[in-house]
Amino acid sequence: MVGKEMVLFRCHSGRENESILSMDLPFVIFIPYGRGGGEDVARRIPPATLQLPSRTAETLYELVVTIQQGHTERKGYAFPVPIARFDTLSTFGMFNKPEAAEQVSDHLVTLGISLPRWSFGPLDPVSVYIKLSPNPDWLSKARKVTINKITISIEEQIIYNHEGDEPTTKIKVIAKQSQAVGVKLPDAGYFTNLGLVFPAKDPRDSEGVVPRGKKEIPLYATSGFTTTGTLYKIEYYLNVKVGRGVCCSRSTLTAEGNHVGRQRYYPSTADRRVSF
Amino acid sequence: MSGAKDIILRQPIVVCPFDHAGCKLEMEAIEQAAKDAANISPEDPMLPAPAIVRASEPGGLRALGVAMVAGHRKPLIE
Repeated sequence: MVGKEMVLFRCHSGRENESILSMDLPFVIFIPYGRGGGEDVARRIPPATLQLPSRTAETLYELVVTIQQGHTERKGYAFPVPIARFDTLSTFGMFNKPEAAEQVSDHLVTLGISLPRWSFGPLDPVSVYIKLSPNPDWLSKARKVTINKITISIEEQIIYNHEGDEPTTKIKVIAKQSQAVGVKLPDAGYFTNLGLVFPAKDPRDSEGVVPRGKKEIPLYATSGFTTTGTLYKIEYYLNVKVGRGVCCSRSTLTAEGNHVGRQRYYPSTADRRVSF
Repeated sequence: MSGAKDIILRQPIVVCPFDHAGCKLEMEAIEQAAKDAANISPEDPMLPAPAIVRASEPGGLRALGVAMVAGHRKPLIE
């Protein structure tokens, strides 16, 4: 329950009912806002209205008006109230300062990335600056490294029952973009920019009609976004993978005018390139 | 060195239900809402008084725009 239940009208004491012609009962419900920790459930900011595809997770809100007559009869009337949260807007300054990260592999190569902004909505461009630099102490070895392919992907991670004893995690890659590189790592490092468009769910049905959103759940709330409820948690990651791909040290030669036709060529280990 | 591993970097990002243009549109309203909310205290939200018209009140029907004319309810004409 969000906020506190409040009594807006009560009959004069001693009477079971009163004949009323009209009522206008102003009220305000204060949505709880807690800062830090979030230990106290009652002080938690309610998560946004959301319905994931196939209804694997759902959060919706209703304003419930209860009318009680006498001691027994109690009727509830529910009115849908979608709640949106505006704490992840990509226009906020905190999401618009570059975010950098680094990862080292075998002490030979360092992968560095920089994201100019890191909050994204449907169809927003995602761009990442990628820097691969050799370890200056191991230059001769690092020179043998071949960068084959760089892949960026966006991963959606949904943890169901994250506060319970048996949480289950589902990971889905929702967007992916690869760049074939195929060059040896230069001494000065290798730099590139990779980008993709953040995916958006097409709201149209099989007949091309955009369904009218339900009163409880607006259309924008039918695909995932960063949020945490009591029973589920949705997080997103941008993955950058610098990969080995197909090993380029083996090649197949076709010999012309030869009955054998094909012959495999194995280079000696000396000129075999190390590839990622 | 052929056993060199792929380098994988996993960077958390934030996903918003609204696109960048939509977020821009919300900014002004958020600022205004924050200004408005700053003046409201949960202890005393300064609400307007409830308006309740009881059937027993003289002129109660009048408040609904109805008048009793010869035992029938008729729309009130000033």
